[in-house]
Amino acid sequence: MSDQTVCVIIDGQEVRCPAGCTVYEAATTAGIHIPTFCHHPKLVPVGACRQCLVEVEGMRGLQTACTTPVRDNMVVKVHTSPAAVKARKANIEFLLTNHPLDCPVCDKGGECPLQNQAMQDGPGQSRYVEEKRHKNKRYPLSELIVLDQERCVLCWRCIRFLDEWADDHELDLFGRGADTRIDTFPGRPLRSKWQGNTIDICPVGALTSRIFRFEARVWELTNTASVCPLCGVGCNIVLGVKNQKVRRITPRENMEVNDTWICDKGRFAHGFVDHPDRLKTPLIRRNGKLEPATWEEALDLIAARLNAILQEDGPQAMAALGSNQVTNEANYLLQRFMRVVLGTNNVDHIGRIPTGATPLTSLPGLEHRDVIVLLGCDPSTEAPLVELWIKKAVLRHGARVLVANPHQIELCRYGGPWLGYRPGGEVALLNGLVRAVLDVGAKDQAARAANIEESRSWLKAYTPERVEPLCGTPAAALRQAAEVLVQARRPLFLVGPAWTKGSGEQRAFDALANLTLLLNDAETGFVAGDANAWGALQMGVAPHWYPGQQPCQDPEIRNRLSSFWGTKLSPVPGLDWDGMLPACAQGKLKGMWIIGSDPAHRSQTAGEALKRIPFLVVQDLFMTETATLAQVVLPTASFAETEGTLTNLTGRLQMIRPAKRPPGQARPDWWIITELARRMVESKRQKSWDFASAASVFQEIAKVIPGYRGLSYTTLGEAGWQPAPAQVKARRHLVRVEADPPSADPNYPLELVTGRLLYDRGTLLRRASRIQNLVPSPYVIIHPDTANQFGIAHGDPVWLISSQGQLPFTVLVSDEIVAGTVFVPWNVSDPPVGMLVSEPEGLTRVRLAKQE
Amino acid sequence: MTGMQTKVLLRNIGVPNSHEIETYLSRGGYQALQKALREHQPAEVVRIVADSGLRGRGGAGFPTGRKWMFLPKGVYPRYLICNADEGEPGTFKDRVLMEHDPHGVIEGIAIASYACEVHQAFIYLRGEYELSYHRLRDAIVQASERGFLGKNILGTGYDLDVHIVRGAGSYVCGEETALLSSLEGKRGHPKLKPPFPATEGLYRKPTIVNNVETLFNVPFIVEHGAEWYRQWGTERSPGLKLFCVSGHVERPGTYELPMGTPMRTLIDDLCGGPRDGIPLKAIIPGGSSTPMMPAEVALQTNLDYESIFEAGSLLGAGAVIVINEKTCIVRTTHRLAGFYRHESCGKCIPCREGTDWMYKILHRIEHGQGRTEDLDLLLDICDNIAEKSFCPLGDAAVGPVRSSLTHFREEYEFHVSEKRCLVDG
Ligand SMILES: Cc1cc2nc3c(=O)[nH]c(=O)nc-3n(C[C@H](O)[C@H](O)[C@H](O)COP(=O)(O)O)c2cc1C
Ligand code: SF4
Ligand code: SF4
Ligand code: FES
Repeated sequence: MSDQTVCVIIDGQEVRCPAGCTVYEAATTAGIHIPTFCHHPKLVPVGACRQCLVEVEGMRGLQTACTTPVRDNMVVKVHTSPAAVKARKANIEFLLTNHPLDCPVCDKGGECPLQNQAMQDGPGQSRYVEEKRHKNKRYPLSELIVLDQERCVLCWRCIRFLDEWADDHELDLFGRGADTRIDTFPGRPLRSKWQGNTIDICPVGALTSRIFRFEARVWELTNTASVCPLCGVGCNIVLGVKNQKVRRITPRENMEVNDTWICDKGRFAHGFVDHPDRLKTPLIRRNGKLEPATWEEALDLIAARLNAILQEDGPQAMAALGSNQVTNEANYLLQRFMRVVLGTNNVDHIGRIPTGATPLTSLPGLEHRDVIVLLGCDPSTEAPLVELWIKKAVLRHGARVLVANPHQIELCRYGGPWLGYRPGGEVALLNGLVRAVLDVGAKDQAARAANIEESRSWLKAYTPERVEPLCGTPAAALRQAAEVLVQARRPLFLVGPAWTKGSGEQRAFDALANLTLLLNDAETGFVAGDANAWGALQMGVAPHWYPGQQPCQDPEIRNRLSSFWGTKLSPVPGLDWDGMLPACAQGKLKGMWIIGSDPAHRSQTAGEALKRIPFLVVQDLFMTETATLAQVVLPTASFAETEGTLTNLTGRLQMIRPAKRPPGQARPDWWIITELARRMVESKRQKSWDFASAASVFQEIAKVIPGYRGLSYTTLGEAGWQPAPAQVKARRHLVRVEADPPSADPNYPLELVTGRLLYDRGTLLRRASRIQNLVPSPYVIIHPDTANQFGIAHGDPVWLISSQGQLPFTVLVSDEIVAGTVFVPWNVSDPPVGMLVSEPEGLTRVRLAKQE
Repeated sequence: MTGMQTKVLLRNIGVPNSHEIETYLSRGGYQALQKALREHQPAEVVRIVADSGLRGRGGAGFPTGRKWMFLPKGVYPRYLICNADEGEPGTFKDRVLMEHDPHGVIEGIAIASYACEVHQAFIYLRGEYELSYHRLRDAIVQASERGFLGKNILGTGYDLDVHIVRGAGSYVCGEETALLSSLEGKRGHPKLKPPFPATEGLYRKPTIVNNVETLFNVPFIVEHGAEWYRQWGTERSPGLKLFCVSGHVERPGTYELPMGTPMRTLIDDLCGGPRDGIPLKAIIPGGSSTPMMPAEVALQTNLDYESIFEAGSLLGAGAVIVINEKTCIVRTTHRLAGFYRHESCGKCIPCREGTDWMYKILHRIEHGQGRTEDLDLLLDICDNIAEKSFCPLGDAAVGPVRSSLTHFREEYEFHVSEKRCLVDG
């Protein structure tokens, strides 16, 4: 589409529109309604249904508005052409001849384009007296969607969405003429993680959600604009609530985030919100048992115990964990409470974004990257919408996707190359790429490094052939990847949390910076998997950082915040999570408050350590493993029941809003923290804790974090607020980073790789009906070499054994994993795979044994 | 009386072993190809065909040379497709050529491909045409062995491969864009036009689609020149045409006539007149999708595009269906409507739903359950399909219904009021 505009006359009205747009688009900009079925603004026009026929002066017959491009001075008649009006009316009549007209029991009723257009443009009465055609009426296409072939108007939007966006060709038309049907291929139900979107774009009630089906008439729903809490993308959504229960989730357009789509997890997994397992009252341990209590009792008890610890052991005997799943407001208040009321910097959260990471600058910007490199990052399971944007780059612009991951992820389908590596081999892999890029790219690349000459000597050791034994990546794949990188115009490196685990944050990022500085216009972005990972960091739920990532060690900043918060902030460095564990074990920590995280579930070490804390308070939605160890358990409000903000993986601040009341006595985090603080501070300082709402907490956040000045819930609005991209200093010098030798342990010869699945048995998804039927039973993927070595075959039951313990799995033998590693999905087995992991979390080595 | 037939196109039909390359060569075959390759630049061949005024024989009558000139300059590869789907009820002329003169078809494809600078040509063949398939396949082998196909044809440096692709039994796949979808291995759905195949066709490359008979004419034109070709026919419909006649005549079959010949010559002289002397009621002049004409009107017209159009129908593919007085028009129409209902691809609403509805109404009328209002309803449905559908199949489906209701309404009315057929007595 060019920037030129043209003028067309539609029903006598002059309309200016961009040259190259369609008659339909021109009419829409002018507010002139043209009914459509097959057309959808996000899909390539096909002109199939003929619902949009209009008259164009000088053209023979009628034209489909959705496919006809405008010309300057074109004269179009939509509602002023009797022939076009008749044709559109007839088309509706045609459609209704065989439509079952079961609107009274149809989920779409009330928001159905067919219904609306039949009312607006259709004939009042049908002339059809024949027997209606019969097709399948309750036809499950998958665990999540059921198709009514009789209602279907065969617009094939559903097929086209899956083809054009998801690239999952799982639906098609079968039969022909009047017998045409939408169907899946024999024996292959829909598997796409994007299938739910077809429900939204279906212009009738042919595709319905098996979770929402018959739950409510749409006009009974109260709709609340919110944000999905299930991954770092933060898709904009609408919560539809009836009788204090979330009935459905649908996407809300935000071109900076999710376009108009959401993944099926975000759409269908909301069952946890209203699950009977939700904690409904505070619980206090009495005689070894957790028993219901009132908020008065629970908060008074916590205040008394914390005061006692403060008296006896001092502030450093207490610690707290915030969470990258709870709101900014909760995280902010938690660290404020720890620092201001208790006087300690012992505050952290699990899964903290590694130092050196920068947020992705833009989601829609992904579309215009010609090479996307995934480093230990699997968008398809960790941040699905990122996958959709990547597919857009691939399908519409031919982008390449390079994948560095120990096992083959879904996005390897675009031909990679796949750079399989053993965890711990990250630096070797990157050095190998640097070397290969210099080799194939010759002058252009070398010229970008100021110190290229002296660097050549240490890079000598990293020819692809020498790198292969270090990290397991085939030399040929490295060279092939280097060829792609050298050609890249705007490569983007997406880094996932797994990338920095094996080699350490500093070294992993330094080695990556060496590579990116050689390339044309390269950008690096971190793909945070959790909904508020950036937020937790930004809010200062970290021992060394105040809000806004302002260093605690900086006295000037400390003084400024001391006066702002009206207290003298402690200069004593705090413990991070890795430090808290031994402190627990050694009995140094007497009190701990954990909000929205379940460390006991993640590793055995953590569980053991937490058991030794005399006074543990856990605040969560469910009775987590960690909660079972607590002295006091506080029931909190879910994302659907509270107000607050989340910061997505581009650093975007977005609001969640209460759509219903929390169950029982559950309360929002900000309220709980505020109430506790008010019990603990002396009366003259009560005023500094008189937050009346999440909004007032945010007001303070906007004052404390320099970049947020002037923001409020009003300015965030429904679309959220995007910070300016962080200025990354362009490096000109290669930094020497040497690779580690491959680790070896004859007792545990294999490296354990874990990763997320889209659907798992985590705390929330375990409580989402139907989704559970999509979770596989526990498996471990091993390489054929490993299978030979251990004498194990595909399908064998095995024990996976680490120094921490052993767990049973079924073996899948596949060469889609690098030799020497095994892959186990997180949150699928029970007990969790965390049982095998030791903390601080780095690499875990394992061996296999056949189950007898 | 068959002596009155012109025998140019059909000159080899009836000759023993007409399908063998020796026979073809002995009768002057592949001379035109040699001439084209040795004496003409591709553009000159296009010019000659354009000058001859040859119009597409697949039904629409689009000037062939003009179509070839639409090929965008400098865009390669280009493809040529010989449309041998011949699926319209009443048509069987292409079959005669493919079965009995397959080398004529191949030579036509080769010259057209040369003219269009094509190196890969496809024959999209109606799936049921078993013998045609074998004859064409053998012809390709023989022609390749003799150097008329393949690499460096006749030492001129021109390369051409011809592939046969067999259809899977769908009428709409004869429509050129549906044909392209099918050839690409997709569902046989027509595609949006523009882009027209000549600019963006098979695999989104410039593609010429021509009917078998169209291409069959090309060697004659190239060999003898445009003027020679124009000795037959009218100014706007020049040349020779095959007519395949079916129905109530003494000698149904495929006949060759100059364009513009009176219909009566075809029916009475070549086909031996009405079968058993039973007077004719109606004639469908161009294949099932062209409007039905009362016999007395049809017999007054000449066989060229313009004359038949003026008389209210279309020359189409030259498939003349002759219907006598003992035939029930309602039943005939019911049968044809059933065909279109079955063949609608289902892509667009007017055709998918309209053909189904029309068939159901006709079924009722045919079975004595018609209502008076059904007749106007049918006409209105026709109006709501015609020119509203995605591809011309919708219009084709309307053809027999609308025309039979216009010309033979009393038969329908009789059916409705008497619950039985007028002709069955
Ligand atoms: C429903 C439908 C079926 C058609 N079937 C055929 C066919 O079987 N053979 C054919 O040559 N053309 C057929 N056509 C016409 C083609 O679309 C196309 O116009 C023709 O192949 C062009 O070749 P020509 O220019 O040589 O006639 C059909 C058209 C329609 C709408
Ligand atoms: S199921 Fe819905 S979206 Fe799919 S073709 Fe039918 S009406 Fe269209
Ligand atoms: S008119 Fe429509 S439904 Fe009929 S064959 Fe053409 S595209 Fe298919
Ligand atoms: S909306 Fe234009 S043809 Fe379907």
